[in-house]
Amino acid sequence: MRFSMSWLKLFLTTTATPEAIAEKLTDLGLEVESMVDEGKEYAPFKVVRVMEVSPHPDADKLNVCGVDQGDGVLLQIVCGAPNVRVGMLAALAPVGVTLPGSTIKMKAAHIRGVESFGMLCSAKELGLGGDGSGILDLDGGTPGQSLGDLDGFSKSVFEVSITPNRADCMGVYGIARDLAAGGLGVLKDLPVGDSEIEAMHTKVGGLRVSVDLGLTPSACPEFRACGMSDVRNGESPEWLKAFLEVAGLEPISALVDITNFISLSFARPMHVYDLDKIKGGLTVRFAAENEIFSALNGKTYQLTPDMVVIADEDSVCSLGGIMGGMDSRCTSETQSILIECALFDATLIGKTGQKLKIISDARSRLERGVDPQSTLFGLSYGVRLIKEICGGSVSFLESYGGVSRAPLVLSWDDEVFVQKTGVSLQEGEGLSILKRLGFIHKGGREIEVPSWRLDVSLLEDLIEEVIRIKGYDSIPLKELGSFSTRESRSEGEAQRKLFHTKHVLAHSGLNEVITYAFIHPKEAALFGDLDERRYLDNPLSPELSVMRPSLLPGLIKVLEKNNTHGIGDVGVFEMGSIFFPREGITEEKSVAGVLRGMANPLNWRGPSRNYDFLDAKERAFKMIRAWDIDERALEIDRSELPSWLHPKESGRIYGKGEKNRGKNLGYFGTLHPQVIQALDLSKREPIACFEINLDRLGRLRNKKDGGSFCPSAFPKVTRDFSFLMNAHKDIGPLLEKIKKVDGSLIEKVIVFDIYQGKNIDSSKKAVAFRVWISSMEKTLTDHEITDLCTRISSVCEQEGLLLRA
Amino acid sequence: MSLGLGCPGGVRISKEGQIVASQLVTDLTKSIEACDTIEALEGVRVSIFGKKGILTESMKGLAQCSPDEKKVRGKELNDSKEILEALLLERRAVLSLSKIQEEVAKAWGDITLDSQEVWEGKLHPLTRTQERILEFFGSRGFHFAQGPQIETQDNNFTFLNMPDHHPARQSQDTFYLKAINPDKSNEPLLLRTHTSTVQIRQMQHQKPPFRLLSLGSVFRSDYDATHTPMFHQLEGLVIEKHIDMGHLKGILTDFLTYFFDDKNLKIRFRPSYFPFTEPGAEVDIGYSLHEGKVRLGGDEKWLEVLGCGMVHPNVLKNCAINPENNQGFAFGMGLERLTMLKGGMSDLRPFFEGDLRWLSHYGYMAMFKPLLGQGDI
Repeated sequence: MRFSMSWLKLFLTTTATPEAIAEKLTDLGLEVESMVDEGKEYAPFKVVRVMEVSPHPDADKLNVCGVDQGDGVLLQIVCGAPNVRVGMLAALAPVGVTLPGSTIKMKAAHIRGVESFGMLCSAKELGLGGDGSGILDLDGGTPGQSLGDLDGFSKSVFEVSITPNRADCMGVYGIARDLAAGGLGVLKDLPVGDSEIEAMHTKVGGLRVSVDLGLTPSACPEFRACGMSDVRNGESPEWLKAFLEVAGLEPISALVDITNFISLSFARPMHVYDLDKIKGGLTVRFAAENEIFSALNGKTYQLTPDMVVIADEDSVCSLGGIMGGMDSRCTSETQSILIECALFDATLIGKTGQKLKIISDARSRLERGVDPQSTLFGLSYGVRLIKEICGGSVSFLESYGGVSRAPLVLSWDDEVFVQKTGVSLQEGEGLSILKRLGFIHKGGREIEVPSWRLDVSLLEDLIEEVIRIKGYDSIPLKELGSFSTRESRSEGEAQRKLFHTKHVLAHSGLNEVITYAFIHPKEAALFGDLDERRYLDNPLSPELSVMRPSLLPGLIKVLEKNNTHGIGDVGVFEMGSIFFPREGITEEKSVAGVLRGMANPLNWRGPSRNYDFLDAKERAFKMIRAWDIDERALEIDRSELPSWLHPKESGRIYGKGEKNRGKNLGYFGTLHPQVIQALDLSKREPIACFEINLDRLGRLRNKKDGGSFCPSAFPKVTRDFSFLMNAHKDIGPLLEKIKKVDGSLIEKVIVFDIYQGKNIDSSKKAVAFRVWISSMEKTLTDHEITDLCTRISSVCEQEGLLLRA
Repeated sequence: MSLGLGCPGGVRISKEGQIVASQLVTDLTKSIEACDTIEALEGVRVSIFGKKGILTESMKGLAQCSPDEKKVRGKELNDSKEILEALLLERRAVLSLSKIQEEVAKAWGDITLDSQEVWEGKLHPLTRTQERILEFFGSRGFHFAQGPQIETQDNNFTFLNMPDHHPARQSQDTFYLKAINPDKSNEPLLLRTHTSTVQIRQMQHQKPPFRLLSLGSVFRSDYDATHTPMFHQLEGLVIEKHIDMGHLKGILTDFLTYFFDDKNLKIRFRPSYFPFTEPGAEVDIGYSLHEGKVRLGGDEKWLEVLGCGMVHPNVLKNCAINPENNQGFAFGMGLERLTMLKGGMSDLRPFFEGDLRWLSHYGYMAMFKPLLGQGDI
């Protein structure tokens, strides 16, 4: 809502400054988004009354005047204007003031020997245009008042955001009512309507209008129409145009402008038809299937039978409560009119507007709820303004419906107020506030809700009314007492683990990113499936249209994005939800990482290498270890690998043992080169990646059992071994076998070199590993160690491997 | 010093046929002091105390002396031994010190070089915000609850007192899915537009009293410098006896003061409307503009940071909680906005673009232990 100070003053008698009003509005819950005071520069000018005028002793054209600034003391001003006269109200530029558009400061001066303490200003001098031949003859104001507070000078424009519940404040009058209740002035009575309409308002017609809504008359519970003839639809007067411009509306023609003014002032939408363009009578009815409506906004709509229309014999003239029709609109030639002021069902208006995607001032008011008692006022005031501005006379009046409903009566309770707000009330304070807002005290605790407050239906609503008028500042700050939850902590524990995981991954060199949960269908197809249930019905764009089956596509986009900035070495991870088309669509928590480029920063100490699938594996397992999960409970293999992973350089991680058998926890590896090609990435460079399903990881039934700490007290020896083995064979199972040669003596086995190339058959790789040997019971003899090594070698040989060197 | 050494052993012998011990000590002292390396000193030590050393030999010669002589000369030899040993030790200390000094003088470590051999990962600023929130509310008895991002219309709207065709339903620019609610034929599922859905889930499954906190992604169909189709919210709910708006105001004031780490932060509560609260409020924090940048503090301008209010009785009823004897408050806030205010970011979009330059500027280092330590969460 945009309105000006002078508009507000049509309905509110107040001396408050625009700043005070803006502050109060926000405190009342009518949030001021902006307040511009275009009239601010007039604030230092004063309204004065000219009390004495006498000719200047030394100049023919000058007069010496005495002006009253409201304090009864006459100030001497020399004035050259021919129109200065005793008793007139004039605008004084006092000493020290700068004239608009100039930089010269007013000084006390001797004009031909006579002292002058300021200047009486012409319109031109005030920057208001005009010829400047005489001083401004003010038609209002009191001596001493700031010129800036005068209508026409005060140009404060408020922009207020109205919450959806406050339909009554979609009109300036409602805002004035709240301000009055808040103590910033007195609300004026509603303006008087047209006496002719007031006199004949009960007339029920049937000449030009009929209502045919079958079994749902509630779709349009009240419809009033008034015919007028001999109107002249010209340009609106300046005051009306000025108000509409403030509101951000283009003045169109007097008839349209008047209805807009009433809508903006009283939240009472109306519509005016050109009666001569209506063929036969008007019927309020439901639209026919696919009926065409050509609207005022120049668009054509196809209607459905749940929409209320006002139609003549040939076509739809208006979409009930939303928008008028193109063909029956008023033009400058319009002479006879039909003014509609009606109520429509808010839900139906909402549905229709939503379906047809029409947003209009009328819709926004009617769907929030228009005062059901306002139709007669709207019509009557409308007719009065039309008569004043466009002339004409009433030819007929017809009314339908309008059965008055019993007003809502609620019971006020001071105690509940205190209990909910923590604020105490003085005797009768609550009732008094409610009365200021237009609520009617019926005696005792009974409070009748006014017709325009459709949002108030409970005691809690009354409590809000009272506390917002009292001010939220009055609510004391209280501390919550201690509280021990009876809930299980498991969700909190799970949450803590998620955050811990992020820290672990960041420690391992990966950067955390967050990407959108919806991706391009092409990406979803590559990393999962394109089940219809993944699709958004109303996506912003195809790139953001499908719920992701994996975090990887978003992360790969991050690689590409950074590559365009010249950052080619990127390790990133994300934790978020992924989605599966089950039971509608379900989501699971996932964490994934992608790594491309150099695995370590360019460094003078040694060579850098590129990320590979083992870097991904390392991150995945590091993270799993952080969940206190025993790695020995996990198994990896190459079976059931998803299609987007390289079939040879990737692994599946799953739970071991009865309880977890077959439970896929996730994957690590290299992206399949075909996927890199299909995504048309900027580089063919391999991308290492991992993705772990955190929901499943959390359900894994293999928590680490620490056991007791018993380090060996005896020396540790190491022995190195080197073997040749098939290049296409995994080393892992061999290491497991070696450990099993003597579990009590072999502490660990670590591969420290793998070589392929010169001097070695191309189908082979040379593997060197070190074995740590120690006993819990004694210092091992050379003989025992040699014996163990022989057994290790023979295990290797059984595997068909050659001892090398 | 006069030593009488009467035994043969390659030592000089006086005219009277006596070993002049003092001369021996003097000579050996010279050769010890002449050593300028530890190695040379070791050679001298061996020549004195080694198996064939001068002193060793002299000691051996004592055996042939008369008991009286033995007594006198033995003492003299022992005295010489002590003197020489002390001299050797002293010289060794001097030499090893000068060796270290020499090595140190020769060395050069280029302290201007860097040796980053592993990449350093940064965490997203939103993570930091979430941790701070969990830390604050966790230590105040709130327990954590999570809810799904894909929701039913009932949980997102109806139960929150937004029945069909409520204007607020349209104002939220909801993303609908093609997937259908399995429990309601023909009704599409949606992406939750706020985390208030978690209130409903909590209240339908638990009985009061409770304090709960939830964090998560929410979605609205909007995209510009201050709106992204996905963003994050925090949701809090307290249902207890004797909980009123004062407690709401208290905890949010404490939270904002803590979060922005500013005891003088200006905080304003003003009436507002949410279908699921009554009375409802919005909370603003004061700021001023300095060269176009937001600086928190003062009350020159106000910026909305969160919405809250007493839970609407209809919402309680919808969750089968009797509003006659239960009341409480709820609050929700956008985590991006909090993060932007705290971190001084002006554009929301980079939060979801993964630009590592942005992350390296606004992100934060991993800690060995995440913030949410001691709380009850």
